[in-house]
Amino acid sequence: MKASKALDIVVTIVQLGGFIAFALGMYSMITVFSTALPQGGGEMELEMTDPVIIPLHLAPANQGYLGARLSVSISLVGDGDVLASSSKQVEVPPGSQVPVDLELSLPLITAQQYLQEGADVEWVTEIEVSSLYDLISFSNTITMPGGD
Amino acid sequence: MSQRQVGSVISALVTVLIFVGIPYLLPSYLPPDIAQMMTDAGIDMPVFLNQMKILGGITAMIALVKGFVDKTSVIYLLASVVQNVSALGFTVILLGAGDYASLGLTEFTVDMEGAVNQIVMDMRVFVYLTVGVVALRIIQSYLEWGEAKAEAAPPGRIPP
Repeated sequence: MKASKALDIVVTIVQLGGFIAFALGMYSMITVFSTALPQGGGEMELEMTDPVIIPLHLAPANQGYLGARLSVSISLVGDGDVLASSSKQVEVPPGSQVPVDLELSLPLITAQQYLQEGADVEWVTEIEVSSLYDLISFSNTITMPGGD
Repeated sequence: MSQRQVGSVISALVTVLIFVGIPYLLPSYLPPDIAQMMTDAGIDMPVFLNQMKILGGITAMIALVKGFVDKTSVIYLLASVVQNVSALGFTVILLGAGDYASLGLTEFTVDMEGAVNQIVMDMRVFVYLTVGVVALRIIQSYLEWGEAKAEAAPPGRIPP
């Protein structure tokens, strides 16, 4: 066999492998990311205990064929300072759903000051999904104004 | 027309259809809200589509040149090298959503219903993979060119 032909076969296999890895990795990342977004826009009923606990439940599902890693962090920012923050990192194996529970805890006095209409407060949620042995990743940092 | 020439004409036509025709027609078929969202995200659609059209045109021309020049000529070797480099260009532009300087690490910000979405996509590994593949393809083109020269040499003569 000619050297150029042998090299052609090797490169074609590498290209094909790269394409398959790209497609599988993207599919896993997209399915995990789309299911990791908090669903619904309903208002949250909070119990004004001390401290005030704000729960967040996510159920990311990986419908792909490669494992994915999900990192989620949520912060409540008021007047430029982080008032409360919580984060978690989970592995989502292919074909499975992993529940993620986050809790923001803040003192009652802070909650009364910031969790009201017109307060200068922001919710910052960062969702990062990586796949293909962490070689590819997608992250979205969502900053939403609160105090409405 | 030889089979190789017909093949190169077909290849050039398909390249023009995909990489020049689609980017040319896309703006008229893209829903306005999607186009606006891409603009808001900092993706310069006209520049992105022009980059695709230019690379598509270059690739089509190279496909034609390769079909009509002798496989032993230096032009054939140069055309093969440029063809491979333009494949790298396509990958970098596509993965960078038009920003070739990002080299696969794309960042954009989208405003949606009052919420600011800062999106980061890291696809650098595929740019590195493409660089490796293009380097190997250039070596392959050089080997093919050398083999074609050896085959074309008169019997008993060792090619330079």
